[in-house]
Amino acid sequence: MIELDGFSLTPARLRAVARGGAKVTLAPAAVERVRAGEAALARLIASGTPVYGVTTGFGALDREPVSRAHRALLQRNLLLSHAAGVGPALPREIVRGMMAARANVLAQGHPAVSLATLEALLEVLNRGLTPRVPEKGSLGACGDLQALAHCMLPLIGEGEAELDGQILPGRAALRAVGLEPIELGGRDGLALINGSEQASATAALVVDDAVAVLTSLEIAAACALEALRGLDTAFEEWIHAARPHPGQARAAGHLRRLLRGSRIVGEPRPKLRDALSIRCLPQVHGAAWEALDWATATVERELNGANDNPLVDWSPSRVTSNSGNFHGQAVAQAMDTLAAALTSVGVMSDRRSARLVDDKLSDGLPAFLVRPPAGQEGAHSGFMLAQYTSAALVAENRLLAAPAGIHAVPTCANSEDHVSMAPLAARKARQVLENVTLIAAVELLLACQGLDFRGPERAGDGPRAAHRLLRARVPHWSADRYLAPDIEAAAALIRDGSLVAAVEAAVGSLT
Amino acid sequence: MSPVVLGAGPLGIADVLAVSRGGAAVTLAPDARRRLAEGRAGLEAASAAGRAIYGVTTGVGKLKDTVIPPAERRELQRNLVLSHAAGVGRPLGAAETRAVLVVLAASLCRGHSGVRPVVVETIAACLDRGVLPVIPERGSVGASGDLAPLAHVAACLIGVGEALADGQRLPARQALARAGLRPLDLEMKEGLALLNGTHVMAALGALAVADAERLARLADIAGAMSLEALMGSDAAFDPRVHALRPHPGQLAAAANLRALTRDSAIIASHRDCPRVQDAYSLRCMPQVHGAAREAIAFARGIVERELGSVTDNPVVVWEDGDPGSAAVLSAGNFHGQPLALALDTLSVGLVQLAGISERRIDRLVNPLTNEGLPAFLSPRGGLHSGYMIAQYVAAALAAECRSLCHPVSVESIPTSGLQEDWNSMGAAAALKAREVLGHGRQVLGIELLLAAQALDLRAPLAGGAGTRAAHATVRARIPHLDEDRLLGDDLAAALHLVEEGAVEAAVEAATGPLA
Repeated sequence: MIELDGFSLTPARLRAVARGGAKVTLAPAAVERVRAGEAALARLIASGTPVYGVTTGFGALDREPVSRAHRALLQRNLLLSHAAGVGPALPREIVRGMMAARANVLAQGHPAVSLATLEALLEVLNRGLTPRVPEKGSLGACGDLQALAHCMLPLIGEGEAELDGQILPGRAALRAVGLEPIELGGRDGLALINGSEQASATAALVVDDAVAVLTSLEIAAACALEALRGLDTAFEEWIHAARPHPGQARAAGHLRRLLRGSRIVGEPRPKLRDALSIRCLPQVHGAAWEALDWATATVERELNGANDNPLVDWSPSRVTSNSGNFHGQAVAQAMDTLAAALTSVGVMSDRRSARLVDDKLSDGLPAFLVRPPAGQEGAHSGFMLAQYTSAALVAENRLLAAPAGIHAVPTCANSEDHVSMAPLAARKARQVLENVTLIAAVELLLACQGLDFRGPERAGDGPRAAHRLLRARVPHWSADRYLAPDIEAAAALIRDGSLVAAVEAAVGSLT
Repeated sequence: MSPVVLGAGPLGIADVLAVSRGGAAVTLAPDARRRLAEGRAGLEAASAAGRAIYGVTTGVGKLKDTVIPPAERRELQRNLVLSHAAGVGRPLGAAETRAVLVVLAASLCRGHSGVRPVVVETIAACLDRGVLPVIPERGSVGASGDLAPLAHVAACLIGVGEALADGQRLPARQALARAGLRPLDLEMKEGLALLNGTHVMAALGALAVADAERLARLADIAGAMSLEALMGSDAAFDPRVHALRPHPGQLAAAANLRALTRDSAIIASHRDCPRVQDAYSLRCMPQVHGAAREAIAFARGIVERELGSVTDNPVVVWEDGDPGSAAVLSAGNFHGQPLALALDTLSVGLVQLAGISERRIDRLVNPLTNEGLPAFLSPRGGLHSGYMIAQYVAAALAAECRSLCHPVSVESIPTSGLQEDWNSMGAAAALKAREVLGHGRQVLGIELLLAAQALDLRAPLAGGAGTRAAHATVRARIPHLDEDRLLGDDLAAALHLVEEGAVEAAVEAATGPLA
């Protein structure tokens, strides 16, 4: 059970709800805050204070007064008319993440949602309903309106939701889990949708997953280094103390621990230096760790920030209609930066994969890492095409690394004349991460095959453990076979965390 | 639908559409059978003469210098298929897969790949009986050909991997058996011939060009509706203006706009108004829509040539009727660079259509620019937000299109141990163009929807011959928006209208064929 208090949601806790199916509840203090916000809003409205989106229309319609009799209808209309998303449905885990993240922000009290509406949202989440939310359309200001509107429609018995693999109309979906549609009051409609949760929930899963992917890529790189008979001197601690970017020190430390006990790296040989794709691992992966740490900090703040407008305060009661905490630029920039950083480590991985298959550069490994039975040379292409796949993914990532956050298009009759495109930035970062997972899978596959020719028992603690794990699932390649399943098997070890777990069992925690 | 005959002349984009989306079967022209037989005989003669043939008597890529003894040459072909089937990502759609199969079959039919007729017949039978290989869409670097995705096609033909049969994903062997087909046993060169070509990017490119041409017409239709609703002028479409700058795309767009707005009572109602110029998004439609048409025409030319090409390597050449004269030449026709450049250009052109449409959409909802229409086109603004958020969606899609038109044809990464050191990324360019098209259709759908709403509000004045027909078609499916309703449903309905082509059909019934 995850307790939401508005101030302490982390990507890992969000993942537990979004992917793991953990249930959520409101902290007692949050219940008090939500009640305080709801009461303050009621007092303000009763005293005749104009409140944007409650006593007025939305966006550039803010000069149109909405009469008392029509205020509940306005909240309902906001969900209906803002549910304009297009494209395929968002994955279940992201929609669940959005609901948990929005509930956490509402739990701060400042959005002044009614407690009944917030509790209904938590019930929808806890009873396993997943609203159908199209992935495109939201601009990241003012908030991810379309995505959140679709996400909240089932609460009022509209839209669609998935239950146990079946798509149902909103009302039927509610009934199927024993709930009834709710009536929206106060500013409930706007409070449910005027936030950045498509971006922040996607980003939270991306930064959380990225830790394992980056760590896995370091493990694959260590395997490649040993398969290529690289040196470990570039990772010595004093070098990195002399240029103390923390991410660089962290990556160098990982590599030292992964390579501990290796009988390959210390072998006497004439070379003094390795290529940059090996030698500069700490610098390039370090830059990625820096970007990830920065993005994670931004996302954590966003998960616990009142991204809404207007905001209500109590003691004393006050409201501002003229604020912009819904603007997603911070998350857009964090995701654009992370996408660029992940693209770079992928580019570097591809260069190591290219070395592994190239017998001019691989220090005695067979061409394309295959040594076929005598007389069958050339009849087997080995891992040639695995590197092509890696190259294609690198090219795609370079495109995806073009920033989204600079692409503001004015909307709402120029009232919303600068928007963040944060949902696009987050979706792009998620795709880059998926591609890097596959690029790392290719490198792991190739590097372990290379280690077979060096004697994997001579490798360091990390590569030895990684090799053992991979070989339990994917046999050595001695003759051509259907290649795609091998890539998928290696990717599965990265996705489900078993690669990092197996290596950490051998070298200690890497996170 | 009558079958498409392969080998009777170059395959065209229309043929690809007939097979992929129309479900047409394919048959082999008698001349194709003769050429296949002669090409195969020529290859066998060259091989028997002991000449080194890339990928037949040698390994592939950088393994080109490794000699394969005769006893292992069949196994080499099977290995090539298995080890090249390294695709990742989502599978191509059924229509896309059918397009790939027909483009592949047409190229093989020329005989220069040296495959036996049974190889082409098996592909034709798969099309006929609905056995569609599951082709992961990512992994091709676009040279030497679309190796990874095409290897999944070849794998299916030999009974490995997966296939879609009657909408069900099955092991390939089982899918073939259900359809009464036997897995192919590949002979010399046949594995390489199946996977060494640009057929994926050419097939996706053909579908993209056809879709883009429709989108360009639709941009004229939606643009004409917006122009009328925004009290714009048709003076900028005067043929005398365009004769002074005769880019064909510009002329075509201007002619369409004239036909669409012919007899418009709305335009007539303000013909003598004091405003002399409209905003660019209205006035410069012929120039901007026209430039997009130039990009599409450029892509069409290259895709059509590619569909009529042999993009294999090596290729068998011989004197007609004399297989004994055959030579087997190693070259580089598989290199996808022409298509990669053309499809990147296509995306840039399509972004013009989506981008300028988004600006018209904004003018329609914006009370500062919409010439007296209600804000967000809602007769009850305030309590109702009308079409406010529809423009947000168009803005999000236009922004994404801009990101997607960054070229991928410049992103070469070397592969195969530096033997293949400049790759085209043409398949990625095709996938990107497909994405831009999807967004463009939705943006234009939004413009149709909003322009129809705006025209409602101009009643009783009516639009021109073409726009009246378009308006009626929209309204036959989507009612006028009076009070807020679930907006996503309207947008989905508008997209559906665009996809099925009902608007163009109704317009052309009223105006005669559009350019």
